[in-house]
Amino acid sequence: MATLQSIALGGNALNVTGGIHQQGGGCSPWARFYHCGDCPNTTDCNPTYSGGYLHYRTPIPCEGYSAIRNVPLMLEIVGFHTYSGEYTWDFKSIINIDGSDNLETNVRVNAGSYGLSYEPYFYKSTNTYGGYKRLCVSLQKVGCCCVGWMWFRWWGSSTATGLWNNYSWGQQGAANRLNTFPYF
Amino acid sequence: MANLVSTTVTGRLRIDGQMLSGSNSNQTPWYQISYTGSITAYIHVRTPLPADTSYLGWNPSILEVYGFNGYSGDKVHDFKALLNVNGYDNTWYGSQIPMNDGYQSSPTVYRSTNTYGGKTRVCFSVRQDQNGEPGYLFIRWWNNYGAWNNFAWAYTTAADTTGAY
Repeated sequence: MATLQSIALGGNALNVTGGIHQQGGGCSPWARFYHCGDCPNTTDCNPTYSGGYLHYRTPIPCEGYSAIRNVPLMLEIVGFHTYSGEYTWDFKSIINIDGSDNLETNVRVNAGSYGLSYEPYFYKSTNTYGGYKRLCVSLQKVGCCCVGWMWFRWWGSSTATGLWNNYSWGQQGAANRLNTFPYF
Repeated sequence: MANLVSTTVTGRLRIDGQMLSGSNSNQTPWYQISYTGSITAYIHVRTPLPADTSYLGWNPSILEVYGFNGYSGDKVHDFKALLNVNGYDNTWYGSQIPMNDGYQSSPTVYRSTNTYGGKTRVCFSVRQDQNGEPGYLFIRWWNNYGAWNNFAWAYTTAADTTGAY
């Protein structure tokens, strides 16, 4: 991999197609996801569009991964659901895995999210992915297949931002706010 | 044009122009407007983003605006608006502002009455301090980053919240 010493663009824009990871700034790139919000099948939601929640699985390991124990991070979530933004999200939450692998979360900043009866619900996945349980979150939505986009990033130590490519993200529509199915 | 697949900058990366983050996050760079507040009630900004089906048709964007006016922050702006256009009949659905944390900001988002480069454009207005003091606006949008250079930016002042463009 090349190490760039210097670049001059003469006033032209720098186009970055793969994302920008400013490790020194302590912030991950944004991850962006489109959704219609359907459940994957009728087992949980029938019809599939009727589920009232979106569940996301992040790459952040939250069990059996000592590097992040008691190294809190701040997860930022921005997005919308439906063309008219019937639900919008703009949250910052503090996430911690304690020394016994318990998940501790608090939504401390809500910049004006709209339409929500519930704050984001964070949980550890029931299943393991790449050998670890992962941090997941559910978000309220309308019971429809409606256009929406979500952006996620997190702020914290270089350890936390370095988890960016630790595992793939996951997403699905769901009938329940909690991970009762389980979804992940 | 060079196509750099991957690089690591171990020091600082300085960009004097603009940086487009690409389809990964699909956010535009920030655009800065530096101005002096006038006695008129509102400053109006015309963005390059077409307010028709060419970009926004069933493809919503988030318009994000930060800024302030006045030495003591008489007006402070911090809002996100959801922009959308009906993909079938070009009806404008872009005036929703679900996130507004400003101070005496009174933002309004609207579609220009006139066309610029053959298209109507997304515009907005916010309050001025009406004392002739310095102000800044920082503007970007999420989704449809490809419209970043679609047309020139402009700003003006007006007594009303809409209709300046």
